[in-house]
Amino acid sequence: MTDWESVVGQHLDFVWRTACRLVGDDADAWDCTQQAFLDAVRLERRQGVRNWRPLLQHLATARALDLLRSRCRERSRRDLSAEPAEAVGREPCPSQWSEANELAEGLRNAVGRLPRRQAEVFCLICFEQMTSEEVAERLGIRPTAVRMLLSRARKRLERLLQPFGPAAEPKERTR
Amino acid sequence: MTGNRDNPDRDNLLDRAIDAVLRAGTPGEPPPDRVAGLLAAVERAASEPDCLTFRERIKTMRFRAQVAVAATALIVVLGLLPRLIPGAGDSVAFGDVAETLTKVRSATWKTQYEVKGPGDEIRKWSGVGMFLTPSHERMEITADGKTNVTVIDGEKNKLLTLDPPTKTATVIDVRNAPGEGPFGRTFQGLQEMVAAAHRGEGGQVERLSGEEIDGRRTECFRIRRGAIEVKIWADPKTFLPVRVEETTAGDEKTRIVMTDFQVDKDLDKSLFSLDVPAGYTVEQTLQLDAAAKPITTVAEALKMAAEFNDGVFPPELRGEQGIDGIVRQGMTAWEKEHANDPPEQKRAKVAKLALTLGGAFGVILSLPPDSVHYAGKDVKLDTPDRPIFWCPSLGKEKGGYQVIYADLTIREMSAEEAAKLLPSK
Repeated sequence: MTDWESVVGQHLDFVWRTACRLVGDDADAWDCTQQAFLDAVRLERRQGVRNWRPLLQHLATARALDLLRSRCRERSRRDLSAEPAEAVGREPCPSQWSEANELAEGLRNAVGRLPRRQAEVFCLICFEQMTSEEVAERLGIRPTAVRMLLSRARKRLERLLQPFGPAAEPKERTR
Repeated sequence: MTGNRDNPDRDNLLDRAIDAVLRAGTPGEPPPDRVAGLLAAVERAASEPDCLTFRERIKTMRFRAQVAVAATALIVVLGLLPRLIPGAGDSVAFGDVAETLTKVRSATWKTQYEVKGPGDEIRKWSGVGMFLTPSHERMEITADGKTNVTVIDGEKNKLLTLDPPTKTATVIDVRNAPGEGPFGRTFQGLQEMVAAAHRGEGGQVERLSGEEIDGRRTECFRIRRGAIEVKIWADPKTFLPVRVEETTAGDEKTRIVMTDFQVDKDLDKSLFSLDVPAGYTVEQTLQLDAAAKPITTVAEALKMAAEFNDGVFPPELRGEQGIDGIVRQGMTAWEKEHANDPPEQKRAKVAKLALTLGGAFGVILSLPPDSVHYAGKDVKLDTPDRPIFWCPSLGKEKGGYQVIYADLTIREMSAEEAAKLLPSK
């Protein structure tokens, strides 16, 4: 019998931080956190869990990615008049936002545009600091495939972040 | 950080963005009232009536093919269950199925084939299969009311096909056939696949919920190997398969269903004879050389598709715009052009083509879809220094990547080197 109070107690903080980091919003991060734990209940029933931390890290990342992707789709629907832009435009943001916050938000938006597997690999390695081998085991793929996916994700993100680069004109930055 | 170092500004920008996300302030501890609500929701979900018992949890535990020790431990636990838990005597472990299947000396079964063609048109065949140890197989396949017979001797690597309406026979002699892998060996291929999955050497095994088939309760296992998915519904009393279904995961373009298994029956050895029956004439004898490396078969298939596509590689790897679609369209045109050619010449071309495509797709489908990359769109055959296909190394060179270039050269390299060759989009 799993002691859920203990599981939640031990891992809530970092699941919450993982979700916050990825979605950048309290309310959404809490939804992701709650969903990650409920997913964990279902998975624990199906296959048992040996190591909670990487599992919850993966589930929180997956839920956060769902949300980023859904935000991305929502933006596309709102912006029907515009051609689908390859690069991520800057969302209107409060003037007091620092450049770093803006860049972080740009990266979150860009990650929401990546193919699912690439996004998962990128987040788990670059944000959650997992190794290729750990990610490979979690996703059930080879470490070499993980490295390929990471490389592709980085290339795509570099392109998507171009409007934030020093050469980009302010006009190009706003969609 | 790994990344593209060719453009330091862009690279730094991404790294700076990653740092910005990592350093972004988090809003402290989650509010206590929310934590209490979360814990209540989790405990409620965990205690719902369908919550699994310990025994069920073990039964539904997923086998991790990579962790053979865990799989072995699980099998030991399942082996002990009948003695530990009343009423658990008819539970079945994947190991039981693998072991029982491996010991089968002879078998018969029925097969249904479904192939989804252009415009979602589904073509169907049915067949009766027979297997006799060590490596004999006979398939009687009926399509459009006509039945063809194929007899295979996996030890001699010989194959005989008989066409009863025309009383003609074709003999195929395969040289340098690989020691393992199904050379048309359906049942033996299944035995090998299940055994490899059980050893943790090929594919991931997962237990699915069982179901009742023809009034018999069954338990179901799924093996995923690359894009191929095989489901086995096994009888918990005999551990023998009741139904086996093989599909190509994702697009489900082909589906093969095996049912009505009967095992260890006396089968007449003459059914598996490679001697051409009286009254039949041998139309042709084909010599096929299977010495080529698997990756060479992929290169050959890409070349074939490019030749059918005015010297340009197909836009995609699979589908209507892929190798299969382009070759199918090309062959239709070719057959019209060569309508008056002798049938044996046409059959020889079709046989070579089928062997190449079968080999290439066998390779592609056996790899995890995420690990295969294709960038041949608009690339002309023989363009120098232009990589078009990437896949993890096949054969002995594990851990690296193999890359096929447009001039059909094949190079071995590390995953990092291969990644650098990927197009930016």
